[in-house]
Amino acid sequence: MDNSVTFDPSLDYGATFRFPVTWSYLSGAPSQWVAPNPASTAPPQAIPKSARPIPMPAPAPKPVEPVAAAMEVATTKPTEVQRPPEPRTSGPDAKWEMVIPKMARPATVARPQRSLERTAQPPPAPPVAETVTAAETPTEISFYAGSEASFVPRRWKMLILCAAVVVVGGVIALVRPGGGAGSVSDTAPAAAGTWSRRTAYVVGGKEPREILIYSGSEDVKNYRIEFAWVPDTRGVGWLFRGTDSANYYAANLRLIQADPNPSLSAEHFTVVKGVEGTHSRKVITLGRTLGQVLVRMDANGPAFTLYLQGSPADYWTDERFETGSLGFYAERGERPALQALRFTFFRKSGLQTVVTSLQ
Amino acid sequence: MTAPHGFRTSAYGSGAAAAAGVSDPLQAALTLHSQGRFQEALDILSGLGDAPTDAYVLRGDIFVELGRLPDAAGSYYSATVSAPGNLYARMHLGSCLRRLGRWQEAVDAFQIVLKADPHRDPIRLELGDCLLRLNRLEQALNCFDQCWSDAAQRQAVFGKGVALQLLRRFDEAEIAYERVLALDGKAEEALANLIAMSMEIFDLERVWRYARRLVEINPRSVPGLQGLTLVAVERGDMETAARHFSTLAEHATESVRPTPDASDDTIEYRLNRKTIDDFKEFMRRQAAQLAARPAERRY
Repeated sequence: MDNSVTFDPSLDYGATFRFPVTWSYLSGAPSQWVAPNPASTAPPQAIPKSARPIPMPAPAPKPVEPVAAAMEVATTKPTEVQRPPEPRTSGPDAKWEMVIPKMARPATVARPQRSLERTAQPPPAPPVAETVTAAETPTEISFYAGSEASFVPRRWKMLILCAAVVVVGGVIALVRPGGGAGSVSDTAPAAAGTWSRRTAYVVGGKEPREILIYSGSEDVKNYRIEFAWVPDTRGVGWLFRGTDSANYYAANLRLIQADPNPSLSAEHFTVVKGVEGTHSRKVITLGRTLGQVLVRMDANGPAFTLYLQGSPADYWTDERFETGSLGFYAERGERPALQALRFTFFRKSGLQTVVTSLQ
Repeated sequence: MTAPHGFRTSAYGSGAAAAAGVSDPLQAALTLHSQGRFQEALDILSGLGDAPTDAYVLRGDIFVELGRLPDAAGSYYSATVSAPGNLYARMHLGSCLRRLGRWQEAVDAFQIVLKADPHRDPIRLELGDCLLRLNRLEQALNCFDQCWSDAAQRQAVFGKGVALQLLRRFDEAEIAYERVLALDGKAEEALANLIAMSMEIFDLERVWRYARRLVEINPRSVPGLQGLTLVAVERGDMETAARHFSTLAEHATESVRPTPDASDDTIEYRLNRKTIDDFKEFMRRQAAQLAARPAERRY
């Protein structure tokens, strides 16, 4: 029997172990501007200079959206490439709608009705164990496909629908300045440059969250939010890259200590399909007596930078939402008191700055 | 209820029709680019007479998508000539130059961007990489030290470790790598560099410790197996050495093949012909034992 062992013939005369110092780890999370290829160690290549640089005037300014006080600045900021939107399982038409979360189902709704109605629902929903609550299976919740009304008789559906229309109409009449009673614009898109108020529910949350969306910001990828805020314990919360009331990024600031060294907590989190993710929290000490704080947040591709008094305070990245609206949110209806609110939109046609207020 | 706002559906809706329906060539090229139709977008851009800065930038983006880095760098360069303040074009130019191995020019581009916006850690990491390549180690160390964000922490500490290692400040480098490993327990390259550092001072205990950690993460790790093999050889444990070497020879022959020229920058450890023969002999004996066992059972 031949028990000879052979390695590769090139190893017959010896082997060499090499231990170079390498740092490809630096390219492990490539920056947002380069394709995910490791840095090449190839010899330098010539760059064609055939592209003749042509000095051009700045692009023509885009018309300013009708807001209370707005200004627009032409710029040479680059083109932002819009990628095709990813298919959404909840349907593309569902944006900033009042949502009815299944988890927040009142105790009076009888579960057995659901099983009776389910037989008449084509296609049938995947079977869910009765002992599993909706909060335990957040990924199966659809905020848009079907609602509670689907499980009650038709006349109750109509009644609920009518009540909902009345409530929504009332809310819009309250929110929109100059909106007369019985406005017919309930189903019209909010005008650009206005605020629209929505109610958002979070899976597991006891109370809904009131969100104020700045209409006209939904198509923008990169922007800057700036405002002045006097720190208080209620805090100020804002959201960005929101695609609807169940999918958005959010951040907030809150005063956690007034004296002797004023300190703020800065949090950011993500809500995906109505499920609120982990809050990332930082404590920031203000190096002076308590007063108005200038807050700025830049959303630039997947990178987000929070500045306080012009200095960077937090930086994080998240790639889940590429575009979407910005706005503010309030827990328990406590709308934040802000001053010098300003948005800067980095549009493909240039830079647009909007000065507005929450009122 | 409000209806959806229509940017996504109205401006970038459907394919060629949408593209054709857009009168602005730049807009049409943008649409085609967003649909992944890069060559068509390039064709439209090449037909532009007086191309604006945005056209050069878009062309650069498309070239990057197509992997044509020299062309992309050329386009971004043109954009920076026509609009010197265009940081987007300049940082893309820097990234392309870095990937093309043109380190000094990349450094120049990144430094301009960081001068205008000093809070961009991703750019700082790229700049640090270039400085390491240029062997400007103190500058690289300083560059990584200036990274401030949580998102860049792991890579910045790793970069510091590399700079310190190349500066032969091994104690500090080891602390930096251990911090990286605390943040990212699977950072194989940190362990590989620790093995290289331990080899430089020929601390076999350290080599063995880091190599074992590395092989636990990745059983086929070349530096890990090399470390375990050489420590076993140095300790006279030829059985263990042969076992690790056979794995290396099976999966990474190229990496251990002897080369005539030695590199000044890389620590090398050479196994001579006799050692290889010893490995073969051990492997032969082991194979014979394995073959004999079933036979014993048979009789």
